[in-house]
Amino acid sequence: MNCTDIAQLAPLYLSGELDAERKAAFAAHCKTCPACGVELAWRQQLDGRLREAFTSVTPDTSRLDRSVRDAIAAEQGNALRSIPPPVRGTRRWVIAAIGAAAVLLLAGLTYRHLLGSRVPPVFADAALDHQLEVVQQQPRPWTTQTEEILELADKQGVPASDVTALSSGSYQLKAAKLCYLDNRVFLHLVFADGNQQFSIFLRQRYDQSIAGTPREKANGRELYAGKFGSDGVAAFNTETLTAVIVADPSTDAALKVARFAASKL
Amino acid sequence: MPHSRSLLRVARRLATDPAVAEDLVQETLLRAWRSFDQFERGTNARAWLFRILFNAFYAQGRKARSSPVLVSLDPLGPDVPVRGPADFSLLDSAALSRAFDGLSEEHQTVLLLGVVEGFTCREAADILEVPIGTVMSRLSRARRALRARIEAARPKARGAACAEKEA
Repeated sequence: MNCTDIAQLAPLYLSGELDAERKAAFAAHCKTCPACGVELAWRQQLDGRLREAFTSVTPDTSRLDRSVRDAIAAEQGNALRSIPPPVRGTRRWVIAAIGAAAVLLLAGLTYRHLLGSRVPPVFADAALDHQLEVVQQQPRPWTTQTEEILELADKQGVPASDVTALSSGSYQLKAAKLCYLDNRVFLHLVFADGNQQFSIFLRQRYDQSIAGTPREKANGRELYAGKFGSDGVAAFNTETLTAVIVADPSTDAALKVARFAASKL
Repeated sequence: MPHSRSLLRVARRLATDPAVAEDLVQETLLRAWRSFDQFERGTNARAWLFRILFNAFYAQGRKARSSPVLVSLDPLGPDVPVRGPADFSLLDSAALSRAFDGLSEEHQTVLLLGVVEGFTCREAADILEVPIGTVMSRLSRARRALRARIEAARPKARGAACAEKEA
């Protein structure tokens, strides 16, 4: 590898895209060639400084997340036919924001009137988490050892015996991690039933009601359910826990798991 | 919402008005939700979201950007030779941000994707829908241009400090 190769391949080296052989050759050349070594060093330092400077402050997205959830919820209820394209410019933005707020309020009221409640953010977050983390298998720090999963559950106030009870019959517990649904920490459990995978999100019960009208009752628990994107979502409360279930491809699939979970929790 | 923070971080750099940047991310997430069935399972969802973000940005004809777009005729642009050692360890974030803001949109974009957000050159090429070689050459030029801007600003800062002391 010569100096010209180094200059050309530097972006791939810095992004970690060189294969092992070329990576070793690149590093070896930079060690023995002072000019290339210096060129590489300042690029690495500049990259590190830029990354540090731009990621040191985490932008607050709570308002943005809420407005996206509201818009999705409104579309889910067929109350909002289309989202108007945003109007540009600060002044127009204010006008658009007022208009959008009015539309969303109207949509929300219509939706509430039609269905008795709005799609809860916890459903939207659970469905998106399931899609990205389980279906799409985006890399996440999953815990896969049963003992560690039970310990993780215990720390979140979810009894280990409840987690064990869910992993029975044909449902096999595969992995767990903590996540945020509607700004609350949930224990995300992934189960497999044959080739199908589904998610059960658990946390200590919180007071806010899950959704308006229960679909059915199982083991004395009121089961709520709905379709979100390509997933079915179901949820219920016990005396101590809140459980949210996501399974594809239908609400019935989610309700089936919810009935089982309600019988065990 | 998954990835909304990194989307917003990049959108704020593309569209310097924070309200417009939020608009852009909201539009991105809604478009993603509406076209989730077009997402290819097993591919990179984060890169897919960023592609939607850039498509939305470009679809607006870059109107979202409130400041003028700089082009590569910039005298401190890509062709300025910068070689030899450099020390950026004491460079403060504000100075770095100012130097970055002076770069062309092309250069800002590849640095945001390839350095700040940690996408590979291949992923950045997919997001921007350009050949990987284009991303590689833009990254090289963008790093040189950023260094040139940082170094060009340094003597002014030292001069200002001396003037203050003398006063």
